[in-house]
Amino acid sequence: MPKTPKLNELEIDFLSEVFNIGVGNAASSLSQMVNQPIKLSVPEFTFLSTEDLIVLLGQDNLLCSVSQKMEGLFSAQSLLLFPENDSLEIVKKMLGDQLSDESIAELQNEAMSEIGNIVLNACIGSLSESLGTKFKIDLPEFERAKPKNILQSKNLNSDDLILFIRIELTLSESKISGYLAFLLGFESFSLLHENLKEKLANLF
Amino acid sequence: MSDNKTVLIVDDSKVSRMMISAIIKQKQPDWVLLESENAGETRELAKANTINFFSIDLNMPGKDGLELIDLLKHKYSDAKFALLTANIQEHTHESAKKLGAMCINKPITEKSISEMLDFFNA
Amino acid sequence: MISEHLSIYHLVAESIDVGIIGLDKNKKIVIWNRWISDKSGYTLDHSSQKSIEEIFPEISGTRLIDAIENAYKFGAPAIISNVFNRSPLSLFNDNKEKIIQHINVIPVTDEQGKGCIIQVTDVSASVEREKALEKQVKERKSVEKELRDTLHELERASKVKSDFLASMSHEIRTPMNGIIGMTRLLKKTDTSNKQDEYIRIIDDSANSLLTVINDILDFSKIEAGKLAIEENIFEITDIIEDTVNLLQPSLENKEVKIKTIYDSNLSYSYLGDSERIKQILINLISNAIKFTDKGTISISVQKNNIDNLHQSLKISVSDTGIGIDEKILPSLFNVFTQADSSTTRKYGGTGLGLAISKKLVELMNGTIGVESSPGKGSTFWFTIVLGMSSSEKVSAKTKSNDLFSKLHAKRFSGSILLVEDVLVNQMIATSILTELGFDIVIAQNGQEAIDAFSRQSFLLIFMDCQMPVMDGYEATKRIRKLESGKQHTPIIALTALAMKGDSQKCFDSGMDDYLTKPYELDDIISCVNKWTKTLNPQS
Repeated sequence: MPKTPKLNELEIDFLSEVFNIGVGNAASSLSQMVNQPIKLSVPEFTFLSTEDLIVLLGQDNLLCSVSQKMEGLFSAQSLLLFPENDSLEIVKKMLGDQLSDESIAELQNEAMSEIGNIVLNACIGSLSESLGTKFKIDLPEFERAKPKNILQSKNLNSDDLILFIRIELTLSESKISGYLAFLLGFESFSLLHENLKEKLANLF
Repeated sequence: MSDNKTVLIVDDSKVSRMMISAIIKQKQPDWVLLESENAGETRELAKANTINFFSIDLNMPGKDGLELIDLLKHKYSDAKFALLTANIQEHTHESAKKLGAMCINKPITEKSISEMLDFFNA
Repeated sequence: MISEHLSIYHLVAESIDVGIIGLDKNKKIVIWNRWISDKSGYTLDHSSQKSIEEIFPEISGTRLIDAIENAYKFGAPAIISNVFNRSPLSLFNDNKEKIIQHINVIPVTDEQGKGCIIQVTDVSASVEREKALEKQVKERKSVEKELRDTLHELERASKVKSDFLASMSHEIRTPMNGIIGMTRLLKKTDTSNKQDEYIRIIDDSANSLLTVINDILDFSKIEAGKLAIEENIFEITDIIEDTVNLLQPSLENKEVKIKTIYDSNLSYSYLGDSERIKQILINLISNAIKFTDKGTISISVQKNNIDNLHQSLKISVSDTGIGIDEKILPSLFNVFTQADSSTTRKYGGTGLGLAISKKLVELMNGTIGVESSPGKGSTFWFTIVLGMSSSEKVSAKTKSNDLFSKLHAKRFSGSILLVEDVLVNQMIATSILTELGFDIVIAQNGQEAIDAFSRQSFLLIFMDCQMPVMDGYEATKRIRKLESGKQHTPIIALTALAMKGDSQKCFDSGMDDYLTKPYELDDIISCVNKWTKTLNPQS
């Protein structure tokens, strides 16, 4: 079991809401963009250690990842991850199921970058609003690799904490599972925690 | 400003309920505030109390907000309903409108809750 | 704000092949580079105080306007790719075509506050390439589908052909078997000389007809790719001797001698399809006899080694006959060609013989050819590749002329089950087998066969394959089940079908051997010799 840092129930509740809102907004944007009903939900939300994350994602599965670095009150790497086949499926369906698999593979990089950009921006935006703080955000980067390699390229340390969210995308009768991950250094996590405590204190 | 109205706040997030309560308490200190987490609890509380206003979150496990409003409005035709959602898709607005409910945008802020209260008091 | 007073940056912005629009803290346009001017048809300077929606009203409600909002609200950068957003801005190239765009929205901050940069790239070329790729893929897929459909059609047609051949084979061979068999039986009864002559003519005609039918069926089979080359152990000398003996009667009235010459290094026995080789020999030798009135027909077998497991044999049939015109030689092995139509009338034949021989030779990895001098004679030769057999055993299908004469000796005893639905065939087989000394029990179909089998034991079962109610394969499978563990009764298939896979089907269902109709007397005798004990064994 991971060494779960101590966020209390309310703090977890608060963050859940933040991501629900973010992900809901992302669904609206995506839906509008391709003129198809798209639903995004957040069935699971947890904190993990680096090794746990790799195990969870499956050592040998190829993943498509879109990442955006964020800096401000705290620093983090935000990532949207999908197993490769699912990623191709999403793009294919969003394009109306008209194009061949070969063409979809050509477009993959760009299409996923935009989708990732929309989802990550929405979540970071929601976080910004709820915490009352601003972040400097980088342009998205696309990568297609095994989990270990993706995390390595983000300079992950073993004591880093990962805010790990499973999301479910429903599009044209397909349900596809993907993941949002926020990689936080120990310090960043503490800063986040402090901020959360403050916000919640104001409610009482 | 009417007194002694009862509001039922329905949301699966405790923090959200706390935030909504806090803001309403500030603006309407003499109202009675009740809270529930899901559709089942809501129906129980509605039976046992006279609820004037319902503030209902759209995204809940089990029955979602729209389904719940549909269920309740036939029984409690005098009550007013507000649907809270971050999801601003067209068809959500349409559905809420059809049920005579007002759509309030999340995140929960003083502004958005004020809008809701204006609607209740209208 | 990015100050355009910095002349280097200004130069860069004006020269690059990328569009740059800069918005200030009030979302008004303060940077509008040359690329954008050119492609949009608008010129602006930094004091115009226009908003981007004023210039491009079409962006309202699109991802671009939302992205700009987010840039200001949250400082979030955005990618607006052409995949989901073709041409958000009205920008045109020199050919007045709308440019396909890739747009980045980048929030910036300087001492004056927030702003954002909108960077536009023309990706029309790569989109064209993607379209071309998609077109290629679609075409390829469509071709693949057509090929698959055609393949299915061909497979279906081929199956229809096979089924047709199979049923034709059976339908034709069965009555032929009846005629020939009955004629033989008739010969054995007391007949007058006149009757003997008539019988002889019927027999000859039936045999000629059978030859023609076999030729046609063979040819159809080969064309349909349904002819299988079998493998059995045989001696080449035996095959040639047998053929010569078979054709002996046609040498009557001719002053023709037959000579055989064998290479001294020939193996004792070979592995190959002896029946088909014999078929080729019959064709060539009977042709030689037909066209030669006087002189010698020489049959020679020479060998070449290929490797330790295979040998190639060259078999030549030379005659001193009428010869063939040079001009006709190339088309001799084609279907329906004979030297000329007068030859057909004079010498008979279907014109298929040589064509069939050629195909058979080719199926056996060989070649066939001819040399000829009109008036002097011809030499037909063919080569085939055979396997070498180390065993001294010889195929059960070799024949011996002595068998005929031994027919009248009751050499066997015991019961044989004959499973056959056609009356004529029943009669023929019964008469031969009772002559040999067996008791015969007859079953009309598979079910009756099983019933009979469960009532008594048999030395041997002859099982027809095509029967109503239950066919031979099914009956055999069931009999084998009934047998399990106990004494194994040899089951011999009687089949008119001699197609690829048929013999395998027999063995698969549990049969031990097979005879093809019309079966010769000798076939039956060799078979019982092989599968039962003789009472008075002959050497």
